[in-house]
Amino acid sequence: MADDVGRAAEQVIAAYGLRVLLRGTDSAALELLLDSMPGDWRQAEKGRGRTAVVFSLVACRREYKLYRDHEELVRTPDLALVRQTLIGFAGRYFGEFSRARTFVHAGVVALNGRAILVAGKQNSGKTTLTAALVEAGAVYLSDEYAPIDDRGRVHPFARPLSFREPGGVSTRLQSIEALGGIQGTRALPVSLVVLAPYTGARRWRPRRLTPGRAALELLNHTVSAQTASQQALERLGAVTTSAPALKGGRGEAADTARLIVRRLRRP
Amino acid sequence: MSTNNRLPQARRDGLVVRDLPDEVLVYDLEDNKAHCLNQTAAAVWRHCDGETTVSEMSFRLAREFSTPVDEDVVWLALETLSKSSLLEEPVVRPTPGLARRDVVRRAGLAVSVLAVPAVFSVLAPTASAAVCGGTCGGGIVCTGTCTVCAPNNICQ
Repeated sequence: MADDVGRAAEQVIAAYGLRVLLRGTDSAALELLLDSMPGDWRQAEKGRGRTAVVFSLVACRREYKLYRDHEELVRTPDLALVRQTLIGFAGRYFGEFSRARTFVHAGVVALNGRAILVAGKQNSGKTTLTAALVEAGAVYLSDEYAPIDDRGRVHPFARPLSFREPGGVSTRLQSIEALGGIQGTRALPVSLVVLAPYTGARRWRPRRLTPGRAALELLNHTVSAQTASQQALERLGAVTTSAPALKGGRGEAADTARLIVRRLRRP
Repeated sequence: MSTNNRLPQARRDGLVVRDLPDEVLVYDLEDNKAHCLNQTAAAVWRHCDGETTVSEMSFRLAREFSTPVDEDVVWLALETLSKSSLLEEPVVRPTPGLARRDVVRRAGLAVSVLAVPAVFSVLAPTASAAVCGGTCGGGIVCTGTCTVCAPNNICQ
């Protein structure tokens, strides 16, 4: 159980209005947790507020056990799987319980100082299109979540890009730098919302959504849609009244990314 | 009129409302549905104060939008709002009216400033559904971000 971590190594972090306690059997385990935490967080002092959740890593013999509070999330000798699991659960936790930001499940890149949101569910090709936009010259902000504030700005949510392997059973993590991209660090206003699931279409011919319809589409990908609906409507409305939204099935990501970049660079 | 012959009354309890420039977003806390009312539906909904007849509504809308507004358009909006549970009581038209397509055709709405009243709705997702979409095989219990599908089809 998580109690066998004891008090070996601990650190409280603050992220998105939440306090998270990270515990490891030793400093190396704690370092792994800190290195894997996604999003925009900072170290915080213990005892300065209620801790919302505890992630613990127990390293024993040849295997690792990762816990959320007292729930075992994964037990494996594979460090990459431990990292991936923490990234996934921590991100979901922030998305569900943060009230400081509304988390939309979306990839985010920036071009000319403004953000492009690529919203979509798992397996829609969202990460592939996000990567293609980075390769076309955009700055990477996130490939999983778009944390949105009251002004409709999107904040970075950094983590390695997660690509599904052929067969769909496992994924590989790849740093944005390895793709030739750079990581954004500032909150940005949104210039475009893209809903472009991969359908094999020969050419991407999206239709433009009204601000209200676009907000509904984004709500469909909002983690706290049911639990913080008022905030979600306010923030999504702030995004879609200031940025156009385009929806349509696409073909190859590289072609679609070129069209998007060309559109945004038009005078 | 409503089933009890009362004038149309917009529902307010249990709703979160966000006005946009030409549309209205409504979140229904009772069934977790989110609605987008287009300009026409939103205008009719605004006039559903329990004191305004359909005839008065069409007159006011005509003044607001500087274009003639047929009562059939108002009835269509009321029926649509009613189906989306956005009125206190369902409306029942006293006499059969025109079907939606006939309203469009008759009012020549393709060139009108006023769109056919419409309410678009989605069921708000749970936290899991917002991320996973339930695509990892059958019998899914999504507990993370579905980056790994376990052999038993449980999202890890």
